[in-house]
Formats: sequence, structure tokens, C-alpha cells
Amino acid sequence: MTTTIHTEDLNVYFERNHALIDVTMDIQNNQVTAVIGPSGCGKSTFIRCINRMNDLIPGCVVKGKVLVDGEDVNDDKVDVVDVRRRIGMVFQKPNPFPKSIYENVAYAPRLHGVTEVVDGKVRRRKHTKKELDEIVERSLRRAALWEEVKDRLDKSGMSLSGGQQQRLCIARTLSIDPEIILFDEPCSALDPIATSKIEDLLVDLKKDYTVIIVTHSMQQAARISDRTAFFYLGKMIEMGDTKQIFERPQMELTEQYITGRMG
Amino acid sequence: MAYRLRWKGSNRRRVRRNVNLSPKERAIEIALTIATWSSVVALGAVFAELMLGAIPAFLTIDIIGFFTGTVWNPAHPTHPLYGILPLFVGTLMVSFGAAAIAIPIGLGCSIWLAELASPRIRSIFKPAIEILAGIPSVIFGFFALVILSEWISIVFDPVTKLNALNGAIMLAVMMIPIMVTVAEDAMNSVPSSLREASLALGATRWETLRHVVLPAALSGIVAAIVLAFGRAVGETMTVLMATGNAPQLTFDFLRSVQTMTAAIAIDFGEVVFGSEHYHVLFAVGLVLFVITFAINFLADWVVRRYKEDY
Repeated sequence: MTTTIHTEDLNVYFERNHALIDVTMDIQNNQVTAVIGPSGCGKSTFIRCINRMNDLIPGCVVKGKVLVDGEDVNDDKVDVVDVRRRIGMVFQKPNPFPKSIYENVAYAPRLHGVTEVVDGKVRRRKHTKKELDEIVERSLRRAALWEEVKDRLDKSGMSLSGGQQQRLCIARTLSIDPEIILFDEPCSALDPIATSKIEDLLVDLKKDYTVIIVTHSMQQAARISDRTAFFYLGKMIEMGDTKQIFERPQMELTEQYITGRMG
Repeated sequence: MAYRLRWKGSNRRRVRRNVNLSPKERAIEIALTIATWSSVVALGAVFAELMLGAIPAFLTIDIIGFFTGTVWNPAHPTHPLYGILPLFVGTLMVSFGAAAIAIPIGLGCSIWLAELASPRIRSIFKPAIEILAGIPSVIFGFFALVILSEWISIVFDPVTKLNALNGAIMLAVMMIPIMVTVAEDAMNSVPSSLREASLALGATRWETLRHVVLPAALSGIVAAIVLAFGRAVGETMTVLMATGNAPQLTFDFLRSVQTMTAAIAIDFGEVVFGSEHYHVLFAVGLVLFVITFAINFLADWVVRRYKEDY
């Protein structure tokens, strides 16, 4: 297994509040990595460092390195727009755009266009209608939503059920073909059936993508992840193979949390 | 416990009402209903009055001449001319001129406040702009009369110091705060989760604004423009003081014009009650009413056509 993401002494401050303290960890290629811990432990803050979403929060300062394929994406010189094209994100609450299902998925490819090399020159052009149709179908199929919506692509994305909306958001993320996909508690607003569909999807996605999921459900982490990191009060307490974390935790705090004595 | 419930309303959209309302609840319901009806009735009464006042004018004067006549000279002792075109064009020049200035600036300002400004800056700027919206129009008129007209004479060297441009600029200054207040609220109420979704897909700030925030806030932005434009069309005191009040048919922004509102306001002071001129002024008011009505309908259509619900 190769390392995709390596963070080094990552610290996050929200004004006076030290939200993430010296986090150093490795995340492997083509695995599902779960980040667990009680509310307010910094797990969401941590994954939002990876695609620089913390930039949007006034007064937030991120110090340290976030190496993605060896490149420090936390560097000021890095174009944050490029980072986010390579690292997709699915949020806690399904947030489809108030546009049609088709437009939701076509949104990002339309903006980014196609970059191609013609006669040794890099050129950007718009997608043809056929190319866009293909991207939309492929992304929706990959998100296991195609069969349910193929006859109503022109209907609003908001008209879908919660679970379908979340899969639409996943399809939307897949449309830009990222290397890494971050999931920030993607099932916390969903019912059990919708949750199990998303979980199956996540496991399936790791064939092609590196998946990182923040979850407050330990069962979920145990079900779908290969490796698990436990966060507590802004610190990464322990990280290891999921099986090991849940069966033989090395740290006292981890054991207390997974046995339900704390949290 | 026996609840008596009954079906109320039309057959198509029934609302199940609780009939066991306490007297207090019922009193509140009645008070709110009265409030609504009284505003509707007031509007109806104004429109009826306008119609009743205007009908005699349409019976005595030449209607085609009223709409196509190029001379407005109602005070002529023997041959009064009631061509509304000079006033109509004057109103359109001043209000569209104002809109042309105010819409880009107002939109830019609301976008900056909603999307770029830090919360601290916004908390200072927004109330300041709202105060600007509350300044009486006579003060703006005074400013236009005394100061703005001087600046315009220096820059453009116009034929007359008080002209359409003077009125348009001053009206624009009055439109901007209304626009910014409403449009900024509309953009602010677009859920930030939509912005995050767009940015997380690698869209730039501008792309997010253009393709997510503005479409989602469209109805509020259109409402802002219509509200501001309605004020510009209906504004009387400022244009009366700023534009020079010469009812001539011109398309030159550096000449004096008279708007419909100014004509009504000025002439009403001197007109003989019940005379032909008196009724013609009602007809002018009716035209003004129809214009604002048409703008509102147009805006409603735009919103329904392009709206994105969230």
C-alpha cells in the first residue's frame, strides 16, 4: 500500500480555540479510512484541512503540512481551486443545488471544461453535449442512482428523497473524477436503509478512489473501513487497522470510547 | 373529549380548521384578517378614485392625441394641449437613466457585502446604507438642486443646469440603498451549504457566485430592482427639484425635462377643481399606475421563469 496523504504536525486554531493539536498521520491509497471520536473532537476539522475547506471559516488558521502525493496542499502558493478538483467532498447534510438532477452532476465538468493537448499546446475547451451526457450517466451509475433517476433527469435535485439526494451529491463529486473523496458524516441525516446503500457504495468506491469518512457511528466505522483513527479533544489518539482498533485498542482512551464508557 | 372540526375553504384546497379556538386566538385571527383587507381595500379605493377622476378626461379630450401628442401645454387659455409624450419620455429617461446607474452599482455593492466583506465590515456598512434609504427625498432634491447640478455644469457644460441627468443621478443615489438592502438579504439567505458544495467541487468564488448564489437569490434580486425602480418612477420631490420642469419632448439628458409625477404635483396646486385639466391630471396618474403595475408583472414573470428553489 502506498501512502496518499501524510499530515505532519497539523494544528488548527479558531481564533483562540486550539481545535487540532499536532496531528501526524498517514492515509493509504485505495482504502476506506474512518475518523471517529466524540462530538467536537476535531474530526471534521481534520478532513476539512485536506481540501482546504477551513479556508472559508473566518479566523481559522491551519499550520503544518498536508502532503497529498508528496505535495503540500496547505502551502500558501498552492492553488486551492486545483486542490479541490483533486479532492472531492460529500457533506453531512445532502446539499444538492436547486437545479435539475442532470445539471447537478454536469455542474462541475461544465465549469472545468476539457483540457487537452493539441499539437503540443495545452488547450481548454467546453464539453460536447455527448461528453457531458456520458459523464452524467457514468457518475450517476457509479453512485448507484442511475436506475432510479434516468427517466427524470430534468427534475429538480431537491425532489429526491434524502438518501437519493446524498447519492446525487456523491455522483456530483465523482463527476470531477477526484483522487480522494472526503465524507463528512454522510449518513447522519439518513434512515437505516439509505445508510446501508451509501455504505455499500463507499466500500465499492475504494477500488478507484481513496476514501476518508468521518463518522460518529462506531458500528459504521467497523463495518466499512480498513483503517480507523480515533480523535479526542483535538488530538489523534490512536490509528491502526480497524480490526485492531476495535478488538485490541492500545490506548486507554480508545478503549473507553469504543466500549461506550466515554463519549 | 369531543372535538368538533369542520371543513372550510373552497372544494379544491381544503384546510382543516380547529373550531375550538380560544377567544384570544380568534381575536388575533380576526385582527390579522382586517389588517389584510384594509390594505387591499385602500389600494382598490385609490385605483377607483383614479379611474373615476380620469374618465371625464377621456370623454372630452382626444384620447389618441393624449397618448401621441408631443406638446404638454394644459394651461393655455384657449387651446390647451394635453400630449403626454413629453412627460412620459421625461419619466422614462430619468428613471431608466437612474436604473442604468443604480443597478450595476447596487448589485456590485450587495455582492461585495454578501460575499466578500468580513462580518465586521458588513455590520457597519449595512446599517449605514439602510439609513441612506430613510433620508427624506426633499433632501436629495436639495442636494441635486444646489450641488450636483453645479458639478454637472462643470463636467458637461449643459444647455440647462437642471436637467434629466441631474435627476437620474440623484434618483440612482436613492435607488441604491433600497436595492442593496433587499438584494443583500436575498444573497445572504442562500444556504452556505450550497456555496460549500460548489467550492468543494473546485469552482472558483466567481463561478460559485454566478452559477449558484445568484440564481438561488434571483427572486430577491429582481424584487430589489423592481422596488427600487418603482421608487424611481414614482419619486416626485427629487425630480421636481432636479430636472428643471420644462415639459419638452427631448432625448437629450442634458436638457430639462418634466416627469409625470412632477407635472401632477405642480399643476394640481393651480388647477381649477373639476376642469378638463384637472381630469387630465388624473389620467396622467392612471398612466403612472399602469407603468408600475406593468413593471411588477414583468418582474413576477421573470422570477417565475428563472427561479431556483432551495
